[in-house]
Amino acid sequence: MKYTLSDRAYCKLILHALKHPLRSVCGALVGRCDGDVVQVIDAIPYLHTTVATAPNAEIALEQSCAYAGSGGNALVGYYHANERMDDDRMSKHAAKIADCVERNGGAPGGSACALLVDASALAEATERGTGRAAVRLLVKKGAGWERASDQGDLRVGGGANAKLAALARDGRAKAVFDFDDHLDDITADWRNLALNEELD
Amino acid sequence: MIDEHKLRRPDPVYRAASLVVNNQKRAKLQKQDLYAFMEQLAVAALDVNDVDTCDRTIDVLRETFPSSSRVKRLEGMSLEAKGRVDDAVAVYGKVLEEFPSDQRAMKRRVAALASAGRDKEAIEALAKYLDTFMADTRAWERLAGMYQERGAYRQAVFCWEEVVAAEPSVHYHHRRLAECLYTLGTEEDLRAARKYYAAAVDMSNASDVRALYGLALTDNRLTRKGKVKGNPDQPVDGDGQVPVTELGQHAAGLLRKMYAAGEKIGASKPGLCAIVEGQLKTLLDA
Repeated sequence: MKYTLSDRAYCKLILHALKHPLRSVCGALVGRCDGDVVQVIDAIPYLHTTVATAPNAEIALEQSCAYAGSGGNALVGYYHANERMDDDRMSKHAAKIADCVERNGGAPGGSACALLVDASALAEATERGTGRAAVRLLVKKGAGWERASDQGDLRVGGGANAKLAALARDGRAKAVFDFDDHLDDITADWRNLALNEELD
Repeated sequence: MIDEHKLRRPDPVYRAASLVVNNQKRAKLQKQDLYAFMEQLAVAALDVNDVDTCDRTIDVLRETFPSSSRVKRLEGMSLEAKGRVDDAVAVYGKVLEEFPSDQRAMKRRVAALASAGRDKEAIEALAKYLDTFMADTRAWERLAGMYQERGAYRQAVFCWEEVVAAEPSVHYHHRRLAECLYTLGTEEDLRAARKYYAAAVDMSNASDVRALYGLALTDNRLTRKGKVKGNPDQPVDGDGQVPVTELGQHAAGLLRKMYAAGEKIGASKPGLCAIVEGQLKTLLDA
């Protein structure tokens, strides 16, 4: 299975991580399947506070699924950024949410993906706009999620890091709203409609 | 002001403190205030990845206060920022040998262990700290979070109960206890979660959105459990009078009003109401 990650999805999920540098963040990936390619076209930021308890993730899953469906798309994956730089595992809770997306989302059996933000590549990507994409691809293997043996299965656009660096410099991380922000104040829109136009 | 409200805003603190510390004559500070600002500058500098400024500031403070535990704590934090966590833990250990009831050193030690991924040790250290300083509500909150991260929800519930007991009129403490109980998911836990969610809604004048959703989610779960048990009747609340979904329905009504108001005044872009309605319908068969 191959995966393409749009600039919009990539920038949004990294900006989400940048907005909360001291915490873990997570969200879902929206897209569609086209033969043996899963096109990830958007990211929906979920949480930056309560990843370890169930209810808020359930709200986010249900509503983001409906939103994706209304646009003719589906939830095709999950993304996560760990709290600690050197932590490159999918925690139990992250895996649970990813499993839920995999079971109930729109990617046919076994083809949902998970992206883990790669902290070691973040500095170069966000400050200089160069270097490799700051995400690692994970796929479902048995009961768990493992790093895909061929990271080349994930295609990220060539100019994505340059775009990301420009946005990070302009402080656009502040403009990303997730479900946690929305649940604090319902006028904070997790669909990020205005930001989407900037990212495209 | 940031200090008063115990916020963490490194960028403005770093800029402001740098200005003040580098222009002492213009700032016309008392010596006491100057050292407090230098301490704030050192910590903020670490948050913005300027370890050199932190170390230079520590050097100045160490000259003035050579045997201060506060300065040694800053040294520990600088070591943590450099990734030398074992050295940092050793520094805090030395401070605690000299000042065995230095609460901040104890908590810094917990933080250092947690940031090194030594979660089990961090939890043990924090639990030990709370054995002595059991009135530290923020520490109970932190321990609850750490237990939750490890999936030890029962222990987390105990911690949240301490938090609620200490600050019973704060709605989001009740709500976070409810979230933990909901995650545990047994029928007894769900009924308890329902009570705490209801308390949160009551205390927050129905403005705690997570608690409103929580009531709908909990009632949905309880109804499903009732159906699984094979009860043909609608599951009822403790005293056998009120159908379980009543609170959920009420909460759903409040949510609908909130979202509709948001769209009406133009603060929310259209489309969200429909998505929320969809979820509430699914949850409550409304």
